[in-house]
Amino acid sequence: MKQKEATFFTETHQYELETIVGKENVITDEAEIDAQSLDVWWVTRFWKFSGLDFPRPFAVVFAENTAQVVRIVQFCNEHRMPLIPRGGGAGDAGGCVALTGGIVLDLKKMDKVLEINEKSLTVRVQPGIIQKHLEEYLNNRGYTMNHFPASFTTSCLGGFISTNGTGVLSSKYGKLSDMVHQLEVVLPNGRLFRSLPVRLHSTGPDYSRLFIGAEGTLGIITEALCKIHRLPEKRLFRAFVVPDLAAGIEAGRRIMVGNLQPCLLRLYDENDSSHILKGQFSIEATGCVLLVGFDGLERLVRVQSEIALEILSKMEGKDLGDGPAVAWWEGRYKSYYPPNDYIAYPWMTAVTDTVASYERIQDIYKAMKSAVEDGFREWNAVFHAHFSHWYDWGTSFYPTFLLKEYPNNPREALTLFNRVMDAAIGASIRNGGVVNEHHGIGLKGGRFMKEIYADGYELARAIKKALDPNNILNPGKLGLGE
Amino acid sequence: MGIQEIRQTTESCKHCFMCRHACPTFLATKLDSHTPRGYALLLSEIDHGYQSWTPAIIDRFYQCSRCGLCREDCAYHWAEDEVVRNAREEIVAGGLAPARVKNVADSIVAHHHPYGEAPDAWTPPSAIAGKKKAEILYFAGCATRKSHPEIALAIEKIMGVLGADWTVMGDEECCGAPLFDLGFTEKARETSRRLVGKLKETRARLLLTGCPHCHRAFTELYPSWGSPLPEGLQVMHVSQYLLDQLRHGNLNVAVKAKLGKASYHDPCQLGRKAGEYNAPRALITLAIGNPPRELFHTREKAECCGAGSSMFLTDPQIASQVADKRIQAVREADSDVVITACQNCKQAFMDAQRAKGPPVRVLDVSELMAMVV
Repeated sequence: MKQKEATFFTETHQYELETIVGKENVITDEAEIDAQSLDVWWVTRFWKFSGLDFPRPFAVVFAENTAQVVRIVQFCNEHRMPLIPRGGGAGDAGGCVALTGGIVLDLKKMDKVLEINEKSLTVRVQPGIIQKHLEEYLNNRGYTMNHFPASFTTSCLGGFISTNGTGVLSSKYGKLSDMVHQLEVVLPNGRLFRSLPVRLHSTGPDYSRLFIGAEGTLGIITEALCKIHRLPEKRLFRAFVVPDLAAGIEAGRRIMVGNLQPCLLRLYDENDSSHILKGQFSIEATGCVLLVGFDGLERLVRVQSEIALEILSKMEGKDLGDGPAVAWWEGRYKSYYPPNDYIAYPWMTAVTDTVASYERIQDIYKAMKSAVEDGFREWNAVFHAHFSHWYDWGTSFYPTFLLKEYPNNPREALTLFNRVMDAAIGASIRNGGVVNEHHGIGLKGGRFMKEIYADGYELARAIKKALDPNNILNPGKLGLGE
Repeated sequence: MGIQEIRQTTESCKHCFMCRHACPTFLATKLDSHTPRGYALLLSEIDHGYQSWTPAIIDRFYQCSRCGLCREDCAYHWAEDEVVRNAREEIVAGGLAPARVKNVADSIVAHHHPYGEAPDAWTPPSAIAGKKKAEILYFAGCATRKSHPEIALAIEKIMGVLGADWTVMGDEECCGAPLFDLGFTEKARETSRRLVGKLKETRARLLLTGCPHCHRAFTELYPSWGSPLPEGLQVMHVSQYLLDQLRHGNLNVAVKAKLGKASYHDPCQLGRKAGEYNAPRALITLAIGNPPRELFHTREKAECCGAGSSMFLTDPQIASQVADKRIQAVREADSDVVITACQNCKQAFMDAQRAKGPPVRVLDVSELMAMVV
């Protein structure tokens, strides 16, 4: 695939962009360039504070409407200028790093709710709206999108669609691919694509799927029609301790294949559970914490939860009542604030969330944990995980590795990081796991894409080449570079 | 003072995006460098020697209204507003303050208010002219004295109805809070020492201010700077005082104000900083016969009007963008009038609506009460 040559950003480039979006929407000063040159991936944070050179965009350009996005894409094609779409910029995979310079297209000014359909329960929205703002808009009218990821308060809808994200209620309400009915996308050649107005049809493939999870490599999402729900009449939560991880996975499996539709299902491994039991629940117990929740019509919730509780009882789950689970729900974002979150520290860390069918998932977990903790014992590597997105065919876990110590030499530190990633992701792939489940691939996972897709990788490259022959859109991500 | 004072906050917040959705300046400009995370990141880079105080970075640090909503929104209440203020101290200490900021500070030092050569817009009534001592000292605040005589006139009317023993300081000067906010901390402290000396001379029992910035200066900042107010001198915001007078039967609502649909905007300094949310609402309810329509984000979570930290003087364009967002919230609440309890909020809302129409009417709570007593 043809990659662009070294690009310069001249006064003329800046002038041309200003004629498209206005002077106030082309930002080239170091304050904004610095703030937009990294996300929360440890590597970008490390670059910033290790003295190493790291990639930066030439300019941050705000678009205020689709027509401007079209013209910016055309401009970038004419000038072979990399174009990196960015919403909240709070991803953890380097997905919006301007790897070869170019322009960051900031979509946060495209933040309008265009239409709410209270009959078919959909909302038409621009991509730059912060999810919390969209949810507030909907709540104010008695609705919800039921999308509550960790970055709920900070990330934008377009970013969630572009990484096919999930929230904590995904076991019932699904991923973004389940929530999006229709997309408007500016293609790399500057033409506009609008998918069909219904999500399910047999009018050829649903081409909108090409752009969900594509991380801005195939097009720029400028509008989305999304599913909404009425605010639930009842929502209840319950906490359990199950004897071990195997019992928890089996209980979760039975609940999911029994089609009980829990909105919340979270199982923590022994490591996470010991912290939660002592630190959050103040309970002396061993085993694995499992949180379960149901919502919707009160009568249905009562029946669904009764059956789920029977399953958990049979799996020797100890019922901790609703108190700890409700406290978790109400404080569900607290662990993402400093001083709790790992990003408040220089520690080497990454998430490598993995999804697989039920018969494989525990072996994958064990293999990844061993690969990290046994493989990097000299660095006191820690691996912990929770299982938080469940399906009726399998589940995913959200593992984090943590090395509080690493080499002082920055290049050696980055090499160590790559070795840990190799070990963790290699263990997952060898055991039939798919990395990544909901954080996206970006730069972090790009080098594993060939191995993950095997023969299918050529199709991905062919699609990219056909749609974006000049490799303008978010080059170097999703493993689609040269 | 400076970066070292807030290093723990800076290091904790420099990669955290959680409060971004709340930041009023960010919501107006959408710049990442205008978020609390952006400030912490830039300051940490400077602290670690990877960045320097460039004009663009300095500009960003003066485009925060220090409204404190980020701190309120944070699960652990990290004091990001203090990161900004400490950064400003560093900027001022390095002689790097932008001219537009320095002009405001110089004016306060030279003229004892931030408006340069502007004459007072309000002349105290003859009944209190030259009166040195009284039970109540009304401290109007700079914006009221220079730009909003209607607020002082409202107080004048209400004091007349009350038959209060009141006066004003003949040489009232800025309380110093703007100097503190802009990073001129030592100048602010000098102001506090001088003002406390003047306050001692008045022998007043009640210091009544319509400006929440002055209120905060007298109640929180002065004591922390070692300049406590004279013993026995109580400080009240006008809204608190008027509600107190109504409850004690010293003041009565004679007529209901016919305003149409009205909302109340919580000034940051009176609400989040002083914890006073109820008195203005109670007054409005009495004055118009029903509670004000609540804006979507209100009380502790109320967004700033953009005037905070003197931003309406140092960066009027950004202040107006911020105020415009708040005016949009007033329109979304389907209100025709927004009532506030800070003259700087009133100014910001009026500035934001210039050349736009039809405007949302802006009233100070004192003006409203003067209509009904």
